[in-house]
Amino acid sequence: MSERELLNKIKEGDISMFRRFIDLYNRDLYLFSLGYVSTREIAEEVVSDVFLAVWKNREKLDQIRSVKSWLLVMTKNQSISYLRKEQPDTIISIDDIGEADNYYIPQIQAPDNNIISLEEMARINEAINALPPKCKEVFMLAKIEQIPYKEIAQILNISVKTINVHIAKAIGVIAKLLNE
Amino acid sequence: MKESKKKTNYFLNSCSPIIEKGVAESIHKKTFEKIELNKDISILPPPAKTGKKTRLWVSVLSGSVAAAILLLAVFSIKHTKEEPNFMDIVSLTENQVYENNSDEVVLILSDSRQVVFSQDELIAFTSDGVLDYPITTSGDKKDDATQESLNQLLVPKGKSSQLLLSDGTKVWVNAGSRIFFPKVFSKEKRNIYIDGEAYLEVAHNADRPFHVTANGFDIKVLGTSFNVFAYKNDDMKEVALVSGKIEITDQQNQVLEMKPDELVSFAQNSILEKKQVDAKNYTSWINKILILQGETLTAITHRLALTYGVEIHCDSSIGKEEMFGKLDLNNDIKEILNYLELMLPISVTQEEGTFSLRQK
Repeated sequence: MSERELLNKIKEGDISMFRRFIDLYNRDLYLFSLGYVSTREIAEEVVSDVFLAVWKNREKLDQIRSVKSWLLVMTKNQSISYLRKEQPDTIISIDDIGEADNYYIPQIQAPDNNIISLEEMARINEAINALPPKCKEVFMLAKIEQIPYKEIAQILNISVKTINVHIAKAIGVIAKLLNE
Repeated sequence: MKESKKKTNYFLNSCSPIIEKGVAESIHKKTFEKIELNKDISILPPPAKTGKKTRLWVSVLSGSVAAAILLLAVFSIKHTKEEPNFMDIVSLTENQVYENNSDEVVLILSDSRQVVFSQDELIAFTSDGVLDYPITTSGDKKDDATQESLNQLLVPKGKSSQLLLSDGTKVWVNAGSRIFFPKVFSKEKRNIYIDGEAYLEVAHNADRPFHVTANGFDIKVLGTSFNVFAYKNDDMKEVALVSGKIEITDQQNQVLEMKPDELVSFAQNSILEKKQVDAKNYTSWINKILILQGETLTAITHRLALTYGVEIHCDSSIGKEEMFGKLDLNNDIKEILNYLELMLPISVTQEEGTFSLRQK
């Protein structure tokens, strides 16, 4: 089933398709949110708020060009709202959301410790989290969630050039550690 | 060296954060609990669309003149039907982060450049969407700006501004408001988004209807002048039409046609009632006059706080006092509050920039 077909089913009110939609996106939204709010409980609240907004707005789902970008923008806004302890119930309001003070990359793990050792991984995690917040935000979207740079540019309102710079910096740090 | 490259690739392609057990289930559970709580507003089936009606008023209006409306609104849910991508673009644009806690009127162009304007200075765009202003801007110019990105005008509390759009439409923007508008309007229609209050004189163009999108409802106009009052923190939503004809679509897809001097109020994003008023009273702010027709002191102080960019606390014991008359907004806020003190059994005190109104 294509994404469009899925969205059309949700538009018709098909709850089981909506569950599928949640399965499709909850991982990426959860991780992205966790970067801002840093606690599981709040990230879950944020992501369920976003899905609620999707359900409430299902009538116009087919009008959205990039569903994932839209979801990520809402996730960011809602995460920052929670951080500021603002009324989180107006998720789709046009707020001046602003920026988070920091961004965290949750602990990255290697499926095979023979290729990258636990010690190396610990150092990489430490080094990544020492990067500037914006760089980490970009790294999360570009490398962990594999979002195309052009979409990241729209989501974070930065240029593709800037994204390249951030990614080069992050990968440089990682490569250096792995070369030691 | 080769080994490290292999490792880096392995890291980038195969490693990722581990998500704790139960997160997915928990998100499912929370989402459906929230849907259950929101059922009353989310499960309502949309009424059938009345496309016929739309066409009717379009033809009526095609030979028509200017009109004016005013609207008071609360923002909660975005809703557009006719313009597929507009709110989508708005939601992307709104995420753009600028230092807009500035005390100045700031225009953010679609290419991210920012221009600061002084109080009530006219901000004009030429017909090809170029800002008619000797630009000295701040902010990096983005090289990947598309036609779809929106310009934003941000007017802080205590300031107001005037905007001339590329189609010739003029917009007076009141304190604490934001307007999103495309660099150039599409060939089929003109769509802008308003958060706050604005008075518009829309350039007549029967082939390109003008749409104002506010959360909760949508207004479709041809050549018309209207005033939008749509602050998200305000519990009230109203539309008052001065002249011409407009069509309002609320969130339940109810469509209502308005005639001059009619006022439509909303409750919870659906149309509540329609009544006769003198609609001109609702647009007097552009001439720096506030006409009071029995508004409560709470509502008046809220509005003055916004207009002057000050904090005004109104004690609840006097909040329901109603006022009639005119306030000249060219006056200093202190003079206005002194005037209120004379009219009502209240006393006004000032402490660290916050005015307090109490029962005498």
